[in-house]
Amino acid sequence: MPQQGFRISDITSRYDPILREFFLKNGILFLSLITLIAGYLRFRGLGDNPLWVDEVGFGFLVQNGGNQEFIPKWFGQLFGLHTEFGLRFLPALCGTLTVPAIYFAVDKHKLGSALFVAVFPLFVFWSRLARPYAVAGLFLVLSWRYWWMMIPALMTTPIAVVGVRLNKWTLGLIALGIVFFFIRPDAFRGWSISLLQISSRWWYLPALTLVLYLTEWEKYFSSLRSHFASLRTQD
Amino acid sequence: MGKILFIAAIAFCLFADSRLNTREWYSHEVEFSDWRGIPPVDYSTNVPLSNWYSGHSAKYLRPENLKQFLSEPDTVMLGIDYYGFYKISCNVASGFQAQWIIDTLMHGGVLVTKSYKGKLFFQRKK
Repeated sequence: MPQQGFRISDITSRYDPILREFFLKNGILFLSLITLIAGYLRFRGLGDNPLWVDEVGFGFLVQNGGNQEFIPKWFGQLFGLHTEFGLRFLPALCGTLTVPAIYFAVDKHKLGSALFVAVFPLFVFWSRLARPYAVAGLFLVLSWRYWWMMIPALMTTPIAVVGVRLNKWTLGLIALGIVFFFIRPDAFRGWSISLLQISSRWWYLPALTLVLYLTEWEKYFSSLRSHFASLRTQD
Repeated sequence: MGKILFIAAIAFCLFADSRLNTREWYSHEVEFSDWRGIPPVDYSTNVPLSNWYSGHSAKYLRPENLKQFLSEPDTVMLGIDYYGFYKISCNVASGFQAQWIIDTLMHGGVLVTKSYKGKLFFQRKK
């Protein structure tokens, strides 16, 4: 008589359709539960620890202004945030909202992706600090559905470029962003409308230049030096 | 098998979350000190933090500032944190209650001291 071997896949395959239907029917309920867990992990004792040097750099940015981390900086200035909890509030909120955002952004394994984002330690860690990365993360996830969301993501931190889903729009913007760093912002002032219409490719160039010029990104690196005294060797 | 690995990964993540300490850099190389309630200091091993919490602008206590620090004509206040383990502050603090200093700094504390021409008079630890 042949031996009946036990395999885990026998059980999982038997229950797979039942489980799938159960999760599909109660998807929003589970998503709410996962979001609550994410919120707990991110907001628990949020203001207990003192700020550390980079968080204080962000605090000075909110207090004194500067040309970086625009979205969290504007939020902080709007609400006059200066406490540990206040400065960390937006990253924690955005880190929590990334969970439902990824649920709606991805096509497959929605609940699994949401649960992973909710509990992955590095996501939790950066959501609990007064740093811009969790804020940019939320915009990045949304940009997978709506490409223009990469603009607030990049305005939050240029590092967000690593998570951008590439299409003709985002590639164009990234390419122009690179061009911007090598060409002076006023290099395009001599251009006429007819020149711009010759090739639709070039339409992006002045548009991005204008956006970057308005946000004064040319001062980005100098503002880094002025806000982070630790980058200087002498006071 | 994939499902079981996923559940194990989530369980591991939750375990790691429960041990997450945002006062340590995630590489566990640096412990960030608690500068809250620090009085105004003239020299600091962590200027951004002492400026933020004291509201008073301080100068760096680092090797490149040693000459300037020693040539101060009057008594100056120092704030020393974990960065005090760097060579300048260790040299300055030698001969003092080393274990007390190390314990304070290792646990995220800040030492406040008066100094006259490089001679230290410890006042408090936090």
